[in-house]
Amino acid sequence: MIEWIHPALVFFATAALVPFVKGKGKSILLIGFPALAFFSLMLFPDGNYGVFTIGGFEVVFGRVDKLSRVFAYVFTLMGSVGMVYALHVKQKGQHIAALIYGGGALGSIFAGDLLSLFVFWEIMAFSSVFLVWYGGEKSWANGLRYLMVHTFGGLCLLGGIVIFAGQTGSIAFNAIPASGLGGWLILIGFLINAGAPPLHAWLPDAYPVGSITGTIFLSSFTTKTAVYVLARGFAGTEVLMWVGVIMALYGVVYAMLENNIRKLLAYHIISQVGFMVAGIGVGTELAINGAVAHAFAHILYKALLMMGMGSVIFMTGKRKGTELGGLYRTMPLTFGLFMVGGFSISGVPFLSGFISKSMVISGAAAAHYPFVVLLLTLAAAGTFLSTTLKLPYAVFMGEDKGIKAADPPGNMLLGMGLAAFICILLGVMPNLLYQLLPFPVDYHPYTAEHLLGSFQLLLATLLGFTLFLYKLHPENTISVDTDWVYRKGVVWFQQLKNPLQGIKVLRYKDFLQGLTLFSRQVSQRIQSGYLKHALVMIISFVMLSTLLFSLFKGWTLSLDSLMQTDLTLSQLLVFVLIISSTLATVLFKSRIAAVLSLGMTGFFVAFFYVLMGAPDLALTQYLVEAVSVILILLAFYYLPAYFEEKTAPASKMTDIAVSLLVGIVMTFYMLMVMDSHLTKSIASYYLEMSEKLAGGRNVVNVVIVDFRGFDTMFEIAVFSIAALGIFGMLKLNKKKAPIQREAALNGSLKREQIEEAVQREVTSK
Amino acid sequence: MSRKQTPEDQVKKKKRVKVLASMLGLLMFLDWFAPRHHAHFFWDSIPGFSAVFGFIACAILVFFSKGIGHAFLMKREDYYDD
Repeated sequence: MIEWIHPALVFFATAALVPFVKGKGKSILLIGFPALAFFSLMLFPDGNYGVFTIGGFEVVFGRVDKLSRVFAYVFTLMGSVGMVYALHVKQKGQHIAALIYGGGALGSIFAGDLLSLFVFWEIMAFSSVFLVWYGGEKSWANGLRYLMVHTFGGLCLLGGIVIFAGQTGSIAFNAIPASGLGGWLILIGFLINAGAPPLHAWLPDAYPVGSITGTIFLSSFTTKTAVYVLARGFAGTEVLMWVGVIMALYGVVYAMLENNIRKLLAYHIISQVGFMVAGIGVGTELAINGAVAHAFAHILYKALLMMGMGSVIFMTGKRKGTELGGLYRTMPLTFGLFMVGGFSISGVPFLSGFISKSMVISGAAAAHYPFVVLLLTLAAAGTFLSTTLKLPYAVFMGEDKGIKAADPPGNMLLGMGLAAFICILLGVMPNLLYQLLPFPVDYHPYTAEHLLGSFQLLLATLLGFTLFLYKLHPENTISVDTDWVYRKGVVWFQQLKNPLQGIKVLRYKDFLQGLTLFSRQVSQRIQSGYLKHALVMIISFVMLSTLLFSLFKGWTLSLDSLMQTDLTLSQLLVFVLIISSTLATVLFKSRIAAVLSLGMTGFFVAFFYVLMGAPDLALTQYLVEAVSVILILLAFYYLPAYFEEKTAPASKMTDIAVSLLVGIVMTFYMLMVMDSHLTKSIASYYLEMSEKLAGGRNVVNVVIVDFRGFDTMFEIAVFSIAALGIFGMLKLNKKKAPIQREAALNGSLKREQIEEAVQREVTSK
Repeated sequence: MSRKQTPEDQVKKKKRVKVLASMLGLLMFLDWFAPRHHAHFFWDSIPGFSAVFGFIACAILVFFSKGIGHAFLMKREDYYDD
């Protein structure tokens, strides 16, 4: 009686048999054996198989439990589906590499100890690089870089294992604390394979140059094995939550810029794995289930997407968005199947991504991580935007470039069809997947609120895509990523070969010259003479120091008060009005309209005070708002109506950055101040002492004119100065400024016209 | 770079935007009546929040990515070759 058949062994055996078969026999072997491994998984109960003692350590080759089993299911399934897609490939070496690679992945997930995990981990790295190299001569350098990074990752892992085993005396692979050098090195080794920035660049560097069929396997196994080991070893490690969020967004941002169609998908692997890593970081049963379900669904729809783009490259020989377009007519089936994958990854209901992605986000919500939820939702919108809208628009729709093409051979279509079928099947019958998950599932993706929310998010993104389409056409560029360090940075480093040369460069004279140059540049920057630059400088400085101050003070940010806020409908309405009038201020071209809508914002804020039951505060707000609007309007009265010059985009970016900085810092500051009670409230003191000390029963009056008399006095002084200013400006009205006269004649003015007018005025005097 | 938009494109775009916006409006309207079982955060009970968030998210992603892309990240295709 066979105790247990290790699926990795099945893969290795298949690899060994491949050289000896031809034709139909090869097809049966390649598809049948992985499928056999898939079904064999159902036969054996949970438990530890293949246990050996080597050098005093217990090595477990087959730890079968729910977590390892679900990954094995999807790996073997993917092995079979991927082989269908790869059947036409003549080079047997490709099949062998893919099978050994798949076997390494299966070995890693069944490894119950760190030592055998490391061995299979390295088998994966060294077999997968051949799939990159089969991409052709151009991929050699990329493959070498891929191997270097994975070797480095493997060394981190090995070092971590040795230290960890030395400290604990055991090599069993269970939960590993993310502390101490050993734990951290193991975590880094895992994260390199997961593709976490800044150690992710190997992925978008190597995958897009891999062979067309090899990339399908590459995008399935390495990162998802990393997800498995993270779930096994580091579930609930909080830092992973943020690593995951960063990954999810990082991939999306780079995908927006990418022109190479498979590189775009590669960046989305990082983004999607980010969802899984975040789920693992949250660490609740629901979140871990979500991460595992997402890994399962992701392997299939990402393979489908890679197959779709692989088919496009296979049939047209072109791999850039700028070179492709209008293929829906010549490759309709590929287009349709690709879109199934696209809709799945975007989380469209009734497809596989929806039932898994929503689980991760719900897990983070149930564990009460508001920022994780919002940022992951943001990444989800970005996924839909770039994978499912931008990419197919560029390749299949868009400008018809008249490329001669047809749908790929039958086996490739069949491979895509199988993957698409499973995507739909899981979306319609989520329990098929849910019953395989490591924890019992009590989660229902298809509720009214959930469906409506998802459709709103998707439709809104589609609307945004339609509006910003002109910004989203592919551009003929590449984007630098952290691999810059070892691709370009190294060259700089090599120039400093001789350390003494490096010192010689820094002579005293050069140092002095450099210093003057530097200070000249700094003062040119700071004292540019533009009011705006000065304002940007001042505001950024104040905001950053506020931020630093509150951080060093050790104030903690808790969102309790924000979460407990219940908004009534009328409050919500006023809130919307405040936001929309603020937006209007930014969007208005005319300055007067902008000032007026800014005033509106102030008045709505006052209205908010009324609703909150503070009429006196509202009154003050009304007064201040009226005065300031009048003041600004008067100031504008002496300036031309508006400049016709357009603001440079770079300057606009600075404006946006500064505004965002102010918004974010002030919001955080207010939240921190609200929740941290810095000093004891003085209110009770006032209430008690107002009669005793000041002899007044009306506490408010006493506070204003007695306790805080100086305050009031200076407030009055400020108001008087403002009033004087207004009065002065009204008086000035009699003598119109020269520029204003010109403006009255011509409507709006260009900068040269203004300078001319001023010049004339000066010379006439 | 972005292609020049013809007046035809503009008309098509306007039509598409109208259709999408009205569909979105309908969904936001329906959202008032959806029962909430899992309102973890205050925004979960605001009808139409997902739509507004989705649109803002889309705008932020497009302008932020392209902004930093053009400012720092995007290079000529032969950037690494020399």
